[in-house]
Amino acid sequence: MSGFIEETAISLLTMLPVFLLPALGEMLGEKSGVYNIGIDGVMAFGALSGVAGYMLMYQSHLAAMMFGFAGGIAFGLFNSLLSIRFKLNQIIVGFGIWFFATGLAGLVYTSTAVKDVVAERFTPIFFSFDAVFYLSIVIFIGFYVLFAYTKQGTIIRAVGMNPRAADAAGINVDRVRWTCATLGAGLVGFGGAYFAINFFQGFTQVAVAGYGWIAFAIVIFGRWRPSNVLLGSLLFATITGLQTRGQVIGIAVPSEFMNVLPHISVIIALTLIMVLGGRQSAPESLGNPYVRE
Amino acid sequence: MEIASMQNITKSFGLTRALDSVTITVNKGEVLSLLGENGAGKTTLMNILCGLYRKDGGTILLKGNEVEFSSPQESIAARIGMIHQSFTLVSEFTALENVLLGLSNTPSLINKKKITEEVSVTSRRFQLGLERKLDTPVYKLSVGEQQKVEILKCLVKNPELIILDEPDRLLTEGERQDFFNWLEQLTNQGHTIVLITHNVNTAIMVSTRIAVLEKGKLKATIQAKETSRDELIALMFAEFSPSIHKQGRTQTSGRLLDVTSLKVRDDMGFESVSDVSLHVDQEEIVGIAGIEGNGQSEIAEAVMNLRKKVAGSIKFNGEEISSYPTKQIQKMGITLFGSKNMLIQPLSVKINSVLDSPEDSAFSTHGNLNWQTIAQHARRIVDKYDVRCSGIDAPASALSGGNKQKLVMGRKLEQTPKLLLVVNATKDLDLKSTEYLYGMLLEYRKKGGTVLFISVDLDAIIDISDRVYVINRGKIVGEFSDLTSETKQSIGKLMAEVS
Amino acid sequence: MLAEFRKKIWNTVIFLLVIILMPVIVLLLISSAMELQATDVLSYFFSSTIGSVSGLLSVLDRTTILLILSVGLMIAFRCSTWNIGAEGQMAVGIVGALGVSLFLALPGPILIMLGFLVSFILGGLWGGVAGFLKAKWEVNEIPITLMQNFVALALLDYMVRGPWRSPEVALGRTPFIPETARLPFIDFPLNSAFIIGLVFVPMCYWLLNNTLLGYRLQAAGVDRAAASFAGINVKRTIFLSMFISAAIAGFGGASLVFSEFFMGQSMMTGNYGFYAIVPTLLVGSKVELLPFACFLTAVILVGSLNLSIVGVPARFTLLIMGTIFLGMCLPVIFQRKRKQ
Repeated sequence: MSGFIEETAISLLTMLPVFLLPALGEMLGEKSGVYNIGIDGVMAFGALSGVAGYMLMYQSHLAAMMFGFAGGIAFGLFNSLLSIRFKLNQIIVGFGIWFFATGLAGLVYTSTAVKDVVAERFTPIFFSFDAVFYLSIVIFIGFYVLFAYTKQGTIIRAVGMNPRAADAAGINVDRVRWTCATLGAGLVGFGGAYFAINFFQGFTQVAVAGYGWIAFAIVIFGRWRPSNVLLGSLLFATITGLQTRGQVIGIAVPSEFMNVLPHISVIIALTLIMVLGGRQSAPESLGNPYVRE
Repeated sequence: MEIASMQNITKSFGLTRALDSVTITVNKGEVLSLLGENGAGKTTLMNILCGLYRKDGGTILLKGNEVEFSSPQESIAARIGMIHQSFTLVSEFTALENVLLGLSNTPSLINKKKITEEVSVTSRRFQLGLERKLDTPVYKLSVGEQQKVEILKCLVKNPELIILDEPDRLLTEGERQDFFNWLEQLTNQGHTIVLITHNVNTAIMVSTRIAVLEKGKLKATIQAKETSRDELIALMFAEFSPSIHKQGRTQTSGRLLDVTSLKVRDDMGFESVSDVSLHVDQEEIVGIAGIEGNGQSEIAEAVMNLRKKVAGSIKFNGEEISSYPTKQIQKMGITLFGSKNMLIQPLSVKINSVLDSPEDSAFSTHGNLNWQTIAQHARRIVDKYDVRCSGIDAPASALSGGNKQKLVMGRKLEQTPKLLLVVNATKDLDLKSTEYLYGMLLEYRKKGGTVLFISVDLDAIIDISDRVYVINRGKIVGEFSDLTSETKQSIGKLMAEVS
Repeated sequence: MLAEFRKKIWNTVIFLLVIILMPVIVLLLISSAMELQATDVLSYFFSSTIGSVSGLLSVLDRTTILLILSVGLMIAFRCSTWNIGAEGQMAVGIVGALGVSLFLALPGPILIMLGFLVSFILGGLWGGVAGFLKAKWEVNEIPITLMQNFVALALLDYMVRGPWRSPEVALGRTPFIPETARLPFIDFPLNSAFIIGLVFVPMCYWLLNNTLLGYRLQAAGVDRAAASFAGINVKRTIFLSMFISAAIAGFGGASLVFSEFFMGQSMMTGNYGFYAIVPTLLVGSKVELLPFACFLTAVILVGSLNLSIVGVPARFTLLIMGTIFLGMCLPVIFQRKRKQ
């Protein structure tokens, strides 16, 4: 009996990094005021980069993660260029990146050897959880400390809440945003790589789609605070885990609906959080480029 | 010894020449006041010095060396500290966090105790009294305290030159006095200060020298001791001729607006109007004088039911209107002419000319807009009220501030309202436009209109009102019907006194 | 006057450059990546779309759904309501249309009209959820409408593979709708639904430019505070923008049922809900350019699909679309640089 509970707990938690990593990454960018609406595409591209890295670097998981991170950074830079440097409408830029990155990932996948990659799962190190799982927790702790106890965190928050005040205080608003948005995207790619390799043993375009958006929603749901984002990620990891677990136990819900359990949950979660007063929490300058006269 | 010198500085914003070859110098240890009306260019000049704006032409010297600042960071590094008029504080942050923002040489990991201690030291040294309030979120602090946080933010960086932009504007009389005392101590400690102000008394009281600016030009630089109030005013308003002639009022013909025991909350939930009773009779211009933020605008918003009252009654022609929807109140003939949200700026002048009532049968039928009549209406307003624009299809955002307000005023007056609520409508406008608008108000009254005139411009209120209420901290503290220059003193006192 | 004219020419040139040059560049890149002859790829692309009558008919047929959807999107975007749920709203509309045409014993034309009506309402209600959430509690419509896509598509999936499944066929799809309930073809594959698509354009123009509602949509989209001050019920306007937009998308779904598929199956929405964003954004506020933009987008879609014959996978459509999107940023960037 205890084995069952343990197994259930593990299967429910095992997807945590898939949600936590991109969500933390998006949170970082958004806290400084920059949206990454192309997050789903960036995650897909990170997944692809990761699998490509795995293939190119002799089945090295480490290389895969690094490639995934790099893939995310690439699009992070691109997003920053368009959103910060050129001050374009971030929603439109986001759509563009979403299509482009997803399409590019798909293209590379179908036209190269990447499509034949079959990757091995990450090896578990403690309690059936692998290194990336623990790494994501470490990263979470890092974020928590960043925003609660460091000057850099205060600066990032100021840039997001009131860029004019930050500017007047001598902070380089655009530079802070570039850093946060780009690194954030890197994390998204990082998470995408993990997702593809660990849960699909390779890249499948259909599979990765949509999860970037759940991460996006988790940031809103978590009111842009690290601890809430962790909770949100746990929640969605659990729900997604329930899908597979539910099928094993034999819950009689049509599979089509089980598949969209996370998506329905997002709708419900977002609504609840706004009803309960999430309005005030968004960084005020989110989505607006900073222009000095 | 000269600390800073700005020579032949020019700056334009689009077509507006904000600064026209202005030259000033700042000597070590002095208090230099930049004196001038709104729009004279004082803040622009200092914003250039502190790196927020870029100059179009001229030279800046710091201690003899030429400098060019392209960001506030650089001026801060050069030990120039500017305390802005509109506070650049993150309101959700605590006072300490705001001060922390500007500190560049603190380590990443915040040792809260240590920093609090260091900041408190500075606070005590400059007698700012914020030691116990460092953990309070800024939005909970009073205006005076917020200003002190701004000052503290500036002083922890140990500047050599301190620039203060209209520091006394939002202060109460008591706070003002404290502030000037504090300023005096600062100078005694040897700091160099540039003070931006539009208040002649302030300038004379605290300065060593005064530089008078008008419409982007430097008029004169004088020793404070060697000048007089009248001389300064003459320099500030060389191009201004007070031409507003109030006519004697004809007999009142009945009470139009009757407000009793009104209580209203502001956006923060504070009771900003606490028991206000006033009335406006037919064909009166009634002014409400008060320092900005004492509840005046909330009164007008409550009358229009744009803001729900907490208690009290509002009667229009004897009818209780406080629960009527805004649209209905508008239909009854009351309209608000304010300083924000009067236009939907990206949209055309054309549609903005009917913004109050596009569904009116003159402008639309069965939900379809009748562009012909709307265009006609727009053209009429543009011609009649001298609205300078490149055409009625131009976006409203392309108009200058003065023309925007003329457009709004025209739109309002063309509806022949029974009661016009004017709330800070001339805020930040140039003198000519302001004059024009006041003239229009008087015209309107001549034709039988009634105005409730809310403004922070005490001179204007006295000039055009028949009767003036004074508001302070949400209460009416005085009512004056006989308006002379002595009354102005009394009103000023009531406005600024803290109960 | 001359400056205005020159500006217009310049804008048109940029517009064409983006929508024509970008895909060509991508095609060239893809050709080299896949080691195919660029000339082969390009010429086939051209001949399968505008280079032949059958190609042209295909393209025009594809334009229909794009027209309907982008009209819907324009209405939402005008209010700054970012409806990315058109895909799911189409799916809901499809379910409605199928429900009517498969199970009601009514004359064909009645089925069609009723089907369109039901799809319109259902689509509107579905999108209205997001509109309501945004209006009432300021819930960000982007993740909501997006999530709704998945849910609605799941619903469609479930219906066509479950309760409404046609027993004879192994693949999950519904039976065919009655012959009388199908819109006639002008010249296969161009269906008469194309006329409906075209009609939507002037209707959209009228709504956005000449009605009170259109003005309110734009006002609320551009400055909520001032719009509210001007007496506009911003919450209601936001809700309406989503409702109408989604209803039109639902209508588009029904159009797919009655003019193209004549039954229901998974994946029939074909990502048009997302692709339609391209022409919508491309024309900005100029509704009159919509047919042209939709036509060009259809060229790309049809061309890409056909290229799978030459060995290029169809899924790079997404890539081209993305490139166009990003290409749209270029003119704006250049404009701003010139202003400086």
